[in-house]
Amino acid sequence: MSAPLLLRVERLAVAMPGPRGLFPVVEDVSFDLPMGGALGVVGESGSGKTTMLRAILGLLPQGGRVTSGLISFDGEDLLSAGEGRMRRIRGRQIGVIWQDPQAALDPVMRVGEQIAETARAHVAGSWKIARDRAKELMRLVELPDVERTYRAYPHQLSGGQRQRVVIASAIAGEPRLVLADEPTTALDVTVQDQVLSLLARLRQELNLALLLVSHDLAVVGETCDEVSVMYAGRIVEHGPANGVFSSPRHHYTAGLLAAAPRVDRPGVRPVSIPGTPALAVAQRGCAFAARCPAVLANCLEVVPPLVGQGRHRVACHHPLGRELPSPVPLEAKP
Amino acid sequence: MTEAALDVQDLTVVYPAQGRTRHPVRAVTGVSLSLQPGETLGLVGESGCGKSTLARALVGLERSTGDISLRGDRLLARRTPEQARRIQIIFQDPYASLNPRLSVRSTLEEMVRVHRLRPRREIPHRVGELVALVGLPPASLEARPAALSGGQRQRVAIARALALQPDVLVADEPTTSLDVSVQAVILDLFAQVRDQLGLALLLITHNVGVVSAVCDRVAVMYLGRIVELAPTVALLDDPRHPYTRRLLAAVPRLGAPAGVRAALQGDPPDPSQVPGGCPFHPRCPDATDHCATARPELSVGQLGANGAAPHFAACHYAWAPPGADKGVR
Amino acid sequence: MSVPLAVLTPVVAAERRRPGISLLHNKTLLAGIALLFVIVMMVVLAPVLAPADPNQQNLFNVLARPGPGHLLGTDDLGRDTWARLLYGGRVDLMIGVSAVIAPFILGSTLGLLAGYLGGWVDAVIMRVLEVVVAFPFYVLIIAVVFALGAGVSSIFIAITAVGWVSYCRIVRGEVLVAKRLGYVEAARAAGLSTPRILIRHLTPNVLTQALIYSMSDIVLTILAVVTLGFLGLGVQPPTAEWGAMLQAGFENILTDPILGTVPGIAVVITGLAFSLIGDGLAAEFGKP
Repeated sequence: MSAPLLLRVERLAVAMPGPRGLFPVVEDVSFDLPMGGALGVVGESGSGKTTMLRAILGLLPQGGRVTSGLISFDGEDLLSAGEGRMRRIRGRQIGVIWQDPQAALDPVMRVGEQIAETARAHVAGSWKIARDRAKELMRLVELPDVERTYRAYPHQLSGGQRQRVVIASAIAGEPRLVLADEPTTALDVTVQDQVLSLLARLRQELNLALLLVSHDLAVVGETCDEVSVMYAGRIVEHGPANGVFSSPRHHYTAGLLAAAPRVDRPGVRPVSIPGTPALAVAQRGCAFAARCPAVLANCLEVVPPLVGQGRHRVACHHPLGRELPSPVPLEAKP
Repeated sequence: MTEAALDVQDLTVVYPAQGRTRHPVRAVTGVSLSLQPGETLGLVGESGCGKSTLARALVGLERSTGDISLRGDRLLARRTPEQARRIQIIFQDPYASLNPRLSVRSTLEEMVRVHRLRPRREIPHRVGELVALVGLPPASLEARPAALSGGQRQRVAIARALALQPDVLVADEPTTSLDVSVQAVILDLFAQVRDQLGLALLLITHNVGVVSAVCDRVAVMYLGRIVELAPTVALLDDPRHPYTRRLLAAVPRLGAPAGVRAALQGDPPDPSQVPGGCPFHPRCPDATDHCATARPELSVGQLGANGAAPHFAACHYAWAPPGADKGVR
Repeated sequence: MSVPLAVLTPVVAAERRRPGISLLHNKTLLAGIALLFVIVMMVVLAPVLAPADPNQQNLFNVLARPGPGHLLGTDDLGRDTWARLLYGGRVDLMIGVSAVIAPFILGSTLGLLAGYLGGWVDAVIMRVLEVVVAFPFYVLIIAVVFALGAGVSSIFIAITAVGWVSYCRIVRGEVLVAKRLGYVEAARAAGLSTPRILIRHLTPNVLTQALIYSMSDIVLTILAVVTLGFLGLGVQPPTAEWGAMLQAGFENILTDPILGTVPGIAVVITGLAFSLIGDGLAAEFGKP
C-alpha cells in the first residue's frame, strides 16, 4: 500500500462487565486503514463491531475495558492517551457519524448552531468564523437553502437532512478519519443513496479515510475498498471488498451472502444460516463451528488464526475456495 | 375462478388537520388491490408513502373509507370479531409486539380461547401445534418474552397471528429490525406457512431485495397511491414508473461497481402536502407540463402472457414507445 | 427441510434484567424493607415494648423528664410518651397505608379510561383533574375535612378526593405510550374486546409506575394525617397520634423538648423507609 497508515489496530481485545465479571466482546482484532482509504466492518448483532468502534474512540460504556492490543492513530497510541487528549482527538482528528441522526442532534438547538459549535471547538477562533464555516459545510453536504436551514431545529428537517447535518458536524473539525456506525440504516433507500454518494464525494475532496460499520453487505460493497467480516468478536475474513463478496472464503461470509435477499436475483429465496448468532467470544475452537456446514473435529478445538496470501485473509481451518485456482461464483442453493 | 382472499377497492385514509399540520394528511388515497389465496404481494415505498397506514387500515386499526372484502365478504366499518379474525398483522418491532407479562402459552391460548377456535380441552394441544409450526421448541411455551431473542419473538408474533386461522396475513416490515441471517429464517417461515396453510400474504417493506426474493407481485406506493403494480420479475426487469426506476437504481447492489450515484434528488415527500397532478412530478426528471396538471391513473401496459398478472403503472408516459422515452439510467 | 428450530437463548444478555435475582442485590429496596420491618415490629409489639397505658393520665406527673417507668418522659397530661409514640405509630401507619388504596384504585382506573378511550372521556376527566390540581394539596384536604367534621373517615374521604389525580396522570401517560405498542394493537386487530384489552394487556403493564409512586404517596399521606392531627382536625383525642403529640409538644417545647421532637423524628424515619422502598422499586422496574 502506497498511502501511509492512518489507523492501525493490532490484536485488540475488549471486555464488558457482566453478571459474572468481565467477559470478552472483541478478541484479537487487527486491521490497517491507510490515509484516504475506506474499510467496512460487517457483522450482525453480537459481533462486537460497535464495541470495537467505541474502543477506538475511547467511548466504551461504563465498565467496559480494553484488555489488550494496540490502537494507533497517525502514529499516536490512543490507548495510553488520557481523556483530555482523546477529547481533542474526537471531532478534530476523528469524526463520528452514529446510526440515529435524531439522537445525535440536540432537539432544542438550531442545527446551524450545532455545526458551528463543533467547528468552534476545534478549528475556528471566533463565533463569526465558526458560523461561516458551518454554512460552508452545509453547502458542502448539499443541504438546501442554507440560510434558512441554518436556523431550523432538528425536528423540522427530514431524516436525510438530519443525517447531512450530522455529517457536517462530523467533518467540521477537519478530521482525517470518519467513523460511521450504520449511518444509513435508518434512512430510506433513495436517501441512503444520496448520503452514500455524499460520503464518497467528501472522501475524495477531503481525502478522508472512512471506517464504516454496517450489517448491510451491499452498502459496504459499494462504499469501501476493504472489508472485515466480524463474528462473535473476531474478524473471520478480511480483504478487498469485491474479492471477499464475489469469492468469500469463510463459511459465515458465504452464509451471509446467501441469506441476504438480492434485488438482482428475483425469486431466489434467501438461505438462512442454521442456529442462532453467537453472543460471546469463543475461547476454544471456532465460534461459528456450531452453525457451519463444513465443520470438522479440529474446528471445535483450535481457534483458527486469520491467515492468507496477499490482502485476502480468512480465519478458518478449511475455508472455501482453497483448492480452486479461480474464484468460485456464488450459487444459490436450490 | 377462486375468490380473492383479499379485495380492496378505493381505500382512503385521511387524518384530519390538527394543530401543527395545517392540512389534512392524505395518508392513503384510492388504493385498490387484490390478493389470491397462496399469493404473496409485496408493497414497497419510502417514508410517507402510506404503506404502514394501509396495513393498519386493512386490519381495522385505522378508520378508512372504501371497501375491504375478505373472500367476497365485505367488512363493515365496525368489524365483528369473526371478521377481524380473518385478517391479521405482524408488526415491525419484535420487542414491542408481545405482552411482557404473559408467557408464550398464555399469549397463544388467549387467541384460541377468545375466538372459540377449539374446545377447551384441545387448547393445550393446539398451542403446541402453533409453536411447532413456527419452528420453536416446546420449551418456549413457558418462556416470557424477555427470555426470547428478536427472531424468536417475531416467530411468536407469527404464531399468534396464525392462531386465529386467518385468510390473510399482513406483515409490516417484519424483518427490518432483525439481523440478516435471522431475516432469512423468518422469510422462509412466511413462505412455508403460506404454502402449508394457503394464506394470502401482504408483505410490506422498504427493502426491495426482500420483495424480489419472496414476492409474486409487487406494488410500489408513493404519497398514498399505488404508482406501479406488476409481477415481481416484470417490475424488476422493466419498471415503467419513473419513481420505480429511481428506487431500483438507488438500491445498493453487491457485485456492482460504485457507479452513477444519487439516482433521485430530494427527500421523500410530506403527505400533508400532496402536489397537484401526478404526485411525483416535482421530483421527476422527466416531468412535463401535462404531469403537473393531470393525475395519471393506473393503466395497464401488458396483459401478462400465460395468465400472468398484468403490469400497471400510473404515469402518462409509462407505455410510451421507446423513442419518446425520456432517457433513464 | 422445514424451518430450522430456534434454540432458546440460554442466559440472558448483559442488558436484560432478571427481577428475581437482582432483587437480592437491590440494596436500596432491602434497606427500605428492613427499616419498615423494624418500624412495623415496634408498633405491633407496642404492648410488650411499652407496658404503660398510652391513655392513662397522671396529672401529678406532667411533662416529666425521661426516667424509670417513662422512657421518654410524659406529656402534658402525664401520659407516657414512649407508649403514645408506639401506639400512635399504629394509627398513623395504618391510616397512611390504607388511605392510599382508594386514590390508587380510583385514579388508576380513571387514568386507564382516559388514556385508552381518549375523546370526550379523556377531555372530561382531564378537566376535572385540572380543577383539582389547581388547588394546593393541603388547602383542599383541610377544607374537605373541615366541611365533613374532624375524624378518621373524613381523612379517608379527603385524601381520596384529592389524591387520585397523581395516579390518574401517571397511568394515563403510561397508557398513551402502551396503547401504541405492538401487542396492544395486535390484540385490537385480533378483535379482542376493549375491557379485555384494558384488563389483561394494559393494566399489568402500566401499573408499575403508579405502584412506585404509591410509596411516595404513603409518605405524603402520613404527613397529611400528622398535619391534620396537629391542627386538631384529624384523629381525635384521646387516641394517641403523632400529630396530636406534636401539637402538645409544640406548646411546651421549652419545658419538654422530647414531646415536640420525637414524633417528628418518627415521621421522618417512617418516611425514609417508604422512600427507600419506592426508590428500590423504581430501580427494579425502571424504564429501559
